[in-house]
Amino acid sequence: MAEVAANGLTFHVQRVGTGDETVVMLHGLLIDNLSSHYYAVAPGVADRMQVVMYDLRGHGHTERPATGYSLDDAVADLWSVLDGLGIHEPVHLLGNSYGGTIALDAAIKRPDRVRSLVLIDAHVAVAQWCENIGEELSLARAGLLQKDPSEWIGVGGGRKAAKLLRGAASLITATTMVEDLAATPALPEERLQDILCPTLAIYGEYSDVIDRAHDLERLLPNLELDILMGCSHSVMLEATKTVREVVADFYVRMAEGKVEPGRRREVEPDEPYLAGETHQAMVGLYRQELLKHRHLVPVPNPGTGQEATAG
Amino acid sequence: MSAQSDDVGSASNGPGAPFDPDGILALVDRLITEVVGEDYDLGLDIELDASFSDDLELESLEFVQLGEKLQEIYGERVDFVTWFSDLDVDSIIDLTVRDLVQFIEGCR
Repeated sequence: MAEVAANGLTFHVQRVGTGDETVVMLHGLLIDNLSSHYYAVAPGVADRMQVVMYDLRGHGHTERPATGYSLDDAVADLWSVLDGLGIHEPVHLLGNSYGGTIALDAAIKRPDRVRSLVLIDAHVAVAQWCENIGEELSLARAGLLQKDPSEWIGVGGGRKAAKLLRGAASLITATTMVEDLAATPALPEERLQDILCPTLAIYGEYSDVIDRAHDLERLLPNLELDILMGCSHSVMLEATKTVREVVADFYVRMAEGKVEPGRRREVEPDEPYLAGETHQAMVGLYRQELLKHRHLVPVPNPGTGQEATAG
Repeated sequence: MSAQSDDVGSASNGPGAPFDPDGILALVDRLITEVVGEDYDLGLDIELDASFSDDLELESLEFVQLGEKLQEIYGERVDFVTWFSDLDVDSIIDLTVRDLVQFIEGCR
């Protein structure tokens, strides 16, 4: 297994592709890992770019320490992994869901290290997200401490599902992730306006974080926005080929100097939306289950529950 | 302090790597055992028609590892990422041992 020592941990890293420039792909929270990018987006760009994918701290085959799960930690991990790989020139960052949150924060903190951003149904650390992610993960933890994780969301005893769930459950119950993410300071809007690199945002029409697409459209001066019609949050799963093509086209146009800031498209994916419907159904069940545990968690100011689906 | 291990991105082009169906199947069987490790005792039955996801219950990351191990043995010509470039995620999830054996045979 390819490993890199970074920030005091051993990270699982996969590198594919060829070319002068590097794109680093960041995955989502809890039940996600680098394989999402390995299967979905990396194959579309590996013929012309070097692709670096790694499992975030506590995820996949990377070590799972008890602490260090703040957004600041995630960004520090990113730079440390790149340093460990000897990559010091600016890179293209691509993030899915919470991976997009990390990419945005990295671009704000170190614009000199970031050539461009691709944000795939990205959460943005606005005040509402910071409030809801803590609440939602606290509810999840309360539920997980009540009964076995596989029983908890009604998944059968399959080895694969059980392993994924054990990993997610361990992150929630045996690390400081809940507290660390709940303490994320809200990102002031003016910081988003500072992001000047070419940026492509891709959001599902029915995503629970579609409002973030509108925020980005309003605030980022060099943004292209593609709305994938009929899709929800997991657009890489729901419309794999379309996301792959849209991302590949963005990098080709960037190399040719043909990015179009302000462009907004509604894209009809070719694929059927079965995966999207399945995902929406799972999210619905997940939320129902979460709410059963609300009485276990003191929530001073409950949010809508619409913002912070872990992912 | 950061350090990179030697195996990141490395690939040899192993002489003697099998390209006959039986040899490939035996190799895939051995590598799956390595990847799955202790869970192998759960009774995985590695037959040609077995799908990696539903039948063998390989995690998506374990399938990535399997590809990595195959590339170490076969070199760059067995390239999972290029293979995947024409597939959507559902198709990758549905891949069978037979699909993999045929893909490797085609890389000869």
